[in-house]
Amino acid sequence: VDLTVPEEDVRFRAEIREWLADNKPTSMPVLDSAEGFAAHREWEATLFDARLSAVSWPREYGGRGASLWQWLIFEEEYYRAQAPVRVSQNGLFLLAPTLFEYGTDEQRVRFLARMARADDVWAQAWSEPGAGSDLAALRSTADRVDGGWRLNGQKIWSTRAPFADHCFGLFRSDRQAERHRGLTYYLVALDAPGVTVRPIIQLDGNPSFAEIFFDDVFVPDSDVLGDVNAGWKVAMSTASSERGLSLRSPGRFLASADRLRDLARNLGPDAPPSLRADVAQAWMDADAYRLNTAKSVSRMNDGAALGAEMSMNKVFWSEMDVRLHGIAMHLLGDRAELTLAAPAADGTGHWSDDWMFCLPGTIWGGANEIQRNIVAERVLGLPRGR
Amino acid sequence: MRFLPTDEQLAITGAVREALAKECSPEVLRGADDGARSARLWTALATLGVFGLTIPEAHGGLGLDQRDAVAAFTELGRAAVPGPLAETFAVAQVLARAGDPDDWLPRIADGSVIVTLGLGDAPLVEAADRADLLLLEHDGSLYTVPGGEVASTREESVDPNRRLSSVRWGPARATRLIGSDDLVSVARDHLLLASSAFLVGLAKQILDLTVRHVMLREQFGRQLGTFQAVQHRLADVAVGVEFAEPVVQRAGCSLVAGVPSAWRDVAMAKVFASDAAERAAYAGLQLHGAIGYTREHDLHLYAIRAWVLAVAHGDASAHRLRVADDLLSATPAPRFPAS
Repeated sequence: VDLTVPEEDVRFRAEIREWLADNKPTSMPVLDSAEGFAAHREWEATLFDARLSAVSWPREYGGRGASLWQWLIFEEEYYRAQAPVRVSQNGLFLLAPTLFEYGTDEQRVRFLARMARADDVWAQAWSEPGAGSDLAALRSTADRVDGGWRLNGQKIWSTRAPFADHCFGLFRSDRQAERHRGLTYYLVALDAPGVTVRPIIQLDGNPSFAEIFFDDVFVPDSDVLGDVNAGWKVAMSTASSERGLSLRSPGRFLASADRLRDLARNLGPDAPPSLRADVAQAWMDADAYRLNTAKSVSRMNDGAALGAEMSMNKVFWSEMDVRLHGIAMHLLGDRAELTLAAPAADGTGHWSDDWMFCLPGTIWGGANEIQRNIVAERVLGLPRGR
Repeated sequence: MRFLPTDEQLAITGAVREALAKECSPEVLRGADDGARSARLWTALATLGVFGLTIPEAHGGLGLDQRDAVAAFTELGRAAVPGPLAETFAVAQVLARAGDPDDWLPRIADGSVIVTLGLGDAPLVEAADRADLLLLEHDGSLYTVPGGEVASTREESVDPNRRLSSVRWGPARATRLIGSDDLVSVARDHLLLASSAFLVGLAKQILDLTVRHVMLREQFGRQLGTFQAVQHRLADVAVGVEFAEPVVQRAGCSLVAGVPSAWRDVAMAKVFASDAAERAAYAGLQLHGAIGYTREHDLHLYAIRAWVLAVAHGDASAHRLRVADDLLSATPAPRFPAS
């Protein structure tokens, strides 16, 4: 075990910190609105032009070829700076790893740089009304037609879809096949004829979800990702990104933990003693998550693939996140419910937003009940549960 | 930066595990705590290099560091080896920083002496009645006291493999130790580091035993391990162990690097290790059912130790508050490695 940080990574951190200080926008409209989307796209383009949108990508797609360690450093600095939420994150963190693994060269050239510049914003189209945690129960269909496929059905809980340009998801391309077999992974333009997007207001009041209806939507063969009828395997590489490293880098939690500590410190003697211990535990949990991530990155650098242990990761970070923000609400007491728009919030109004934001973490990416099943069966080797 | 065991650490883990499977099997742990058992075990541990692991080569040790000690202590915990092990490690670390007056280190390394440690007022000290040398805290300093010259009373532990005595400070041939560091802190940090690694090992052992049990045991015509309530409880134990171990490993790195957060990282290790081991022990007892609540089954050898070590030397709550005091102070130590 060696935790020595190389000099070049120290310099990298300094460069990122300085760039963010110089370039970070001072205020941004709420993301899930036409105006907000436009502003956030512009910010992603600024990031991209500095080769900071996806630092670990190869240079040919607009990245810097940075190491995973440097990517983690970028994330830490990004969240420390409280820079804007990444409008392109579903594409960057969920689709891009799959494109690198299963895409064709033509697809990578066509999609990646535009994704990282937020010229194209991607939404995921996984869940259906009858297929949530049990994703393999999905019923939307794909039928072979000349030069491509015709999609029909309904997807739901598609984050960012109300304002996004494209979506990625699974459709049943072989109706005779059972469950996991006979699914294919498609990339679909949301302005294609036959696509209808209906926004859904989330718990926080914003239209961040949508349901997407597909009525005879044509998708060319060139927009199939991976092999036909091999979609489950292709999608699972995305799912393990969603559970594991990429979408929830430690940077977000370290920054939240430091802000929680500052909140408790600013309350001074008004902070209830019992909550001091809770604050310390939340701060330590974020630190422990960082250390566990360091272990995962070391394993990846050794050439190992991350597997079912990513389900332990997902259980840990999502429940830690809810605890951490819950403690902030308790510290704030009467003022906890105030939003950014409330004059009396006095700089703490973001906590109610942040708290709402963290709540679905234990649900998306496979509910934590499913994650615990996976841990039991695939990490501990227990028999399949009933 | 590579936060995984080195080949050398993996070799330590493998060698210690293999040797202890024989030298400290459940049958050995069930045996009477007479002089013969402990002499045999002590010789085996000395031969393995456990006592000399971090003692400088010039003093007859292997010259390795606290990170390697974490690897070894995790395996010592897996086998629930009777002490005073963490105490011996801490004493050696202190003596090395105090210039090793009276040349104790070579004799600690080869297992020819037993040393132990008592911190705080009127401590319960492991093997005080058998020790050749005790390190005792008094008035903020550490003193060496020859064995046999301390006022001690044997105390019975709920764990038959813990040999405790209460020790009172009194007139004795005590010599104050002087070193460049705060030696009481050195002693406490190393005692806690080794105890934390030991607790992680205990938790792993209890998890393994319990997984094995729920695979074999059938009720309602099916393996216990197919019940989701059982699966989820064990998944939570696994998550606890998975996240505690890197915290303990980091604490070893922090002590090696001598960073300002080292003491806090050690306290954090004790928080995570205590919580993980305690959770494992309660789940283990529950999921074994009645057989787990017996001394016929091996579980108790590990679960009882987990419970007592989880609360010894400061429980998770006590160390959590130490961490809180630092974090909420005006100048908390920065994270290590830097973030």
